Amino acid sequence: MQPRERKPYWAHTKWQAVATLAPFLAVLVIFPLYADKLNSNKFLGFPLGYFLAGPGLILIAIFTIASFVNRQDAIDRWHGAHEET
Amino acid sequence: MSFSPRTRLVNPWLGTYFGIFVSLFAALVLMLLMLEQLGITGRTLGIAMLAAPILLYAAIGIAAWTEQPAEYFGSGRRVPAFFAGLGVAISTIGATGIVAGTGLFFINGFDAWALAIGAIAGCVVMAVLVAPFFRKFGAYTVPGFLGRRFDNRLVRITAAALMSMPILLIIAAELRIGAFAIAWLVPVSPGACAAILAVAIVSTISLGGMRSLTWSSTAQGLVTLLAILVPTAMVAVVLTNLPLPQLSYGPVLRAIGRLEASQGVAIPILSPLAFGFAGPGLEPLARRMATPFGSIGHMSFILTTFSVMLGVAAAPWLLPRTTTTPGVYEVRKSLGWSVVLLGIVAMTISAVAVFMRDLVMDTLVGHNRGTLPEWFGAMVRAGLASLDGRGLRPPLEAFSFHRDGVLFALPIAYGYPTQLVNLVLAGAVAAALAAAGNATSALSTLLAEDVVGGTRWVPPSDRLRLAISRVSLALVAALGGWVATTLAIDPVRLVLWAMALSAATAFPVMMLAIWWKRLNAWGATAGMLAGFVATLAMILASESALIGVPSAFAAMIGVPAGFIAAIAVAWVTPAPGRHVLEVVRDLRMPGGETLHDREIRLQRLKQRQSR
Repeated sequence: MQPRERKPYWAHTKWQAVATLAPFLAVLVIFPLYADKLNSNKFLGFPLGYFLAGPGLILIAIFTIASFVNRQDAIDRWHGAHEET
Repeated sequence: MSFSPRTRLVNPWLGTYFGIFVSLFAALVLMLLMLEQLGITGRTLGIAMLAAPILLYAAIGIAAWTEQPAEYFGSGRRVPAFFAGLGVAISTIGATGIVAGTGLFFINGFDAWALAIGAIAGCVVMAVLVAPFFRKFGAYTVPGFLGRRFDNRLVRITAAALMSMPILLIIAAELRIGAFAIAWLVPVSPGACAAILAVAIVSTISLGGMRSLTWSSTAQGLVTLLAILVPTAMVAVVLTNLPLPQLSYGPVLRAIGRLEASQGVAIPILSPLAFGFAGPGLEPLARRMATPFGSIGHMSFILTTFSVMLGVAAAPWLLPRTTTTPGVYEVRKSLGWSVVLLGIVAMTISAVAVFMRDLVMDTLVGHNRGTLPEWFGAMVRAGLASLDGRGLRPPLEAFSFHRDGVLFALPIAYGYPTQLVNLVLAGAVAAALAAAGNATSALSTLLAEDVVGGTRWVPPSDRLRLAISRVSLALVAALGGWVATTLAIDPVRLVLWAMALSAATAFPVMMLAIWWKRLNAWGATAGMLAGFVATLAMILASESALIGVPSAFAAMIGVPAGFIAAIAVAWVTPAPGRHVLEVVRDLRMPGGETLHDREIRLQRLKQRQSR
């Protein structure tokens, strides 16, 4: 990796971490708090609030980490910071 | 698949090996099922179901025997992402999560999601903030990483001393729950059960260290998954016509909700910091299943989630597992697999709880006291359920269930053969072995590498190094067994304390060590000490009823204390030197040589030149 690539690489990585965690942590707090209000609706047969705060958050976590793995690998390759393959 | 040095390291036969293992295990279960139908009594079946899998795990562990430190401490750094992820997932959830977790979902309903979601979110945070950098550094323990990152032995010793506490709590919790499951399979005393587990752990992992641990806990993880998925899927086919309980239990849950409403089950208004998770005993079913905050307040829910999340994210007993992967990319991927597997487990155990509650609603609540089904009578005789109050047709609140018996009650209640109950019990024992084995290995490596060998950077000769580590493994297993039998505390509470301690001690320093270059050795020491002392003080104050805040939220004070102390002390002390800054710079880049290996190579070179 080129020495002058280090700063942009780290800035990019930092923003990726923020962009991954901020929305995820936000829904982690919001969904359970509103679960009671949403429970009168239904989704896949589940009460909606229960679904969002349980299985829904799991699906969001899987999506979050899958997209993070993908994007961070793209960042590594773009800046030439990836491991030798 | 691209053919590269990193992928070439991976054993291409792994899938075949574990396919053979799963077939063997399935054959064992089916054979015992047939023997049961042929009239063999329960005792023999229980012993076979306990001993045969343990012998299989031990065989795997002994076959992975090694004399090389890189294999012993890091499994040769060639474990594919899925297998490493399975190991992390099963060590995170452990038997406590599976056995007690099901009971919490059953008794507390919605509120138990705080623990499950916390563990899953912890893996996400670990993958983003900590684990890839820890893998690039390549240290075998968290104190080893911190010691080298700050180039300071005081940091290493302090970290080792403080972090051993949460790991020991985890070992004790897992051994207690595992002993509970063994006592069900084979009627022996709790002390003997803990001893069986400790001996099984030592004989499985003492010869191959992390290498044995990786492959035996892969087998244990597969057994655990089979043991909870198969009976639940069988029940799901009966109830919902789909063998996918994870996604099809919704209508059952809504039906329960309607029955609860018609019964008039109360929805209590709790204070935001109320904390009423079921303890290890008979608890009345007084909560609605899908209504949030029936037993813990809404602030408690968020605090519990975050405490478990940060505890998992920097857990000193989970991070060493991530160094076994071939590279930084695989670490991120392996934690993705952990999230998927933890999600499957959490959705399955919540389905078990819902199916069990459905049966309670259907066959117990409002039925004639004299005509209750046989399985309920059996559970009452075993002390795992009770029926209080008067009245000919008891309401929901009159029924009490034991938290840890719910998972095993499902196959009994649906009238399945004893062998299926034994399968679930074997799964719980496997999860306990995997999680307790992982924590035992982490603590013994910490003891051998950072305390005994922590005074010098260059490790002693390979033979001595492994001998020290094996002795400390036996010591730690014995200590864990002793603590588990003498410390009569609820395992869930022990795990919550361990998470709080890990969140406050390890998380602030681990995160700042990577993301903040300016953090120096003084800041790190102060941060760890402040977080640990604040958390421990709060746990003790809460347990002795000095303050009215539950001890599970000790991280609420500990994590900010850790961050503030680390940052403040680092600001008033001199900035770290050039060598440390170079280490931080290199550990942030995925490419290039693993830093731990490079440091040791350079140290050895220097030693040889000075000779």
